[in-house]
Amino acid sequence: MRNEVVLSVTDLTTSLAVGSATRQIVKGVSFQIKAGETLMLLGESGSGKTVTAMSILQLLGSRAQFTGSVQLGDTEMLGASDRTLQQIRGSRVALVPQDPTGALDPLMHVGAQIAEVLRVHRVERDRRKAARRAIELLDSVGIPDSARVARRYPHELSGGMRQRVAIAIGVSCSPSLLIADEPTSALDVTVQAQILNLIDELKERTGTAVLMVTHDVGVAYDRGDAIAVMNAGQIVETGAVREVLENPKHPYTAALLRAQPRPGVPRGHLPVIDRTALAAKEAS
Amino acid sequence: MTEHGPRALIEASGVTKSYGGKVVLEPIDVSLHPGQILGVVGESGSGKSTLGRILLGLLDPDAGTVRFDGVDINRASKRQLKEVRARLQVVPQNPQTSLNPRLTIGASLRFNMRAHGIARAEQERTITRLLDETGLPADSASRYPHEMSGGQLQRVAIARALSTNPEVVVCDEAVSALDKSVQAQILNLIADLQRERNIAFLFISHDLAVVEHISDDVLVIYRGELVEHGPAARVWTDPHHPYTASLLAAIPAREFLTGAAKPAAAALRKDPPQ
Repeated sequence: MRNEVVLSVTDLTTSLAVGSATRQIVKGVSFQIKAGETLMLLGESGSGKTVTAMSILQLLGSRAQFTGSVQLGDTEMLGASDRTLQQIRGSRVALVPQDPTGALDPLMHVGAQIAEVLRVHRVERDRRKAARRAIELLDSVGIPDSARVARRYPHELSGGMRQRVAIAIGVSCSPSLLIADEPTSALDVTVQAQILNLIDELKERTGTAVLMVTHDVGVAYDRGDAIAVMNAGQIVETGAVREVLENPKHPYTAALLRAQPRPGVPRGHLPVIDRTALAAKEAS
Repeated sequence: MTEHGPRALIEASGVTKSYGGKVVLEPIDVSLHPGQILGVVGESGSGKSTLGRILLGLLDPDAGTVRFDGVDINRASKRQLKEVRARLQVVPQNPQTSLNPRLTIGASLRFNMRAHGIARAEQERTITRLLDETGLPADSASRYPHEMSGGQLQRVAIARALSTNPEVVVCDEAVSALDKSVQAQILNLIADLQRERNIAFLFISHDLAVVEHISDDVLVIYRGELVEHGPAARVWTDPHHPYTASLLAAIPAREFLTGAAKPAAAALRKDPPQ
């Protein structure tokens, strides 16, 4: 299972309709992720990292146009029928969103939401068995007193607990790929560490591949195996996380690292990313 | 603590706050001196924003007093309070929601200045100067908030705070929503304003690395309680309270990004260096 390529993205471009115009947001990106591996898609707002992730899931609606290829196992995601996509999403590829509050149904007990996914994907057809399995899943994501929590509504849980529930839903059908879009950006650092530990643990246990979208260089360095640094719709640098971040070859990666506040840099003298200079360098 | 003049601009003592029987702020003393940058660090629900609101006079404490340059802001007359408010401004976390979407940037800045009785002719001069000072394009005054980027809007929020010529600016998570590259620019701007205009900042943030970088002194708040207070560099390298230590330990890739000493570095090296 390990070393098996789970996701292969080749020359992907994504264009979105903005008003009457069409803008290319993702400009030809290629990468692969193997089973049991975490690939960090690192970039700033507007870099195209989330649109890349949503392109893989085909969650951009009819306004999006694609070229290239997104191969999940033996399935081509680009141009796949709605029926195929519905079967794949949630079972073979799952999403852990940035904001679990928006992703969870506010009117449904969290246990019932997990059970629903199990039944929709026919992992567990029996209502009562699905409910029991939901409690086991809550256990597996480190929720204490899971039988009681299963009967809670999302608003009765803390942000960290809600993210655990979203992860439980994500892993409920044992996906081969878990896409986590800024899964800890809304959380406190101490809770962030717990959630990242949980994702690492689940990956170890199940061998799922993880694509994590992040703006946080620290999270990428700590938790990634491989990294793809995105800027302006392109991957500017890719490789093993430590190699890339400890020894950045691309000026953008280097500038991003220098902009991190740290001791030793006098106040008022943080190096700023000079986009005009970067663009000029790129052109030359 | 870092040495400052004897006169504190903000002097809060024994300030407490509860909501519906739940204590969100234990008795706390805070003083802020001219030109000082004081960081306040804590996680969600720690009470750090409650403290900020109390120091701004937007929220009355249950007990204790807050003085701004000697004036008790909870017992001040309307007139006194208005004078204090001009000297004590705020930069909120989210400028998208704190700027009126139907007013141009110039109109928003004028609104704040008019509220504080600044003459019309001076308002226009101030706008030109502030746009320049905060690194905004000169034509920003005629633009609407939706026409600007998040980083530019945060500069507008800073320009608006500066428009009444304040001595203290409270920044509540003012750089948290920004990309690192934009964050660096705003942090540099705050540092310049402190240096060139001797403005004092209360810098509230959950991000210890940012607070360490920008602040002279740091308060660490945990569940409404002040657990640590000291010079920023000391708190960063030698935290006295276990909670501060756990906050530091939770920063992803702290050693790599900040060059902080790895506690186990010596232990890892089994063979003595050649």
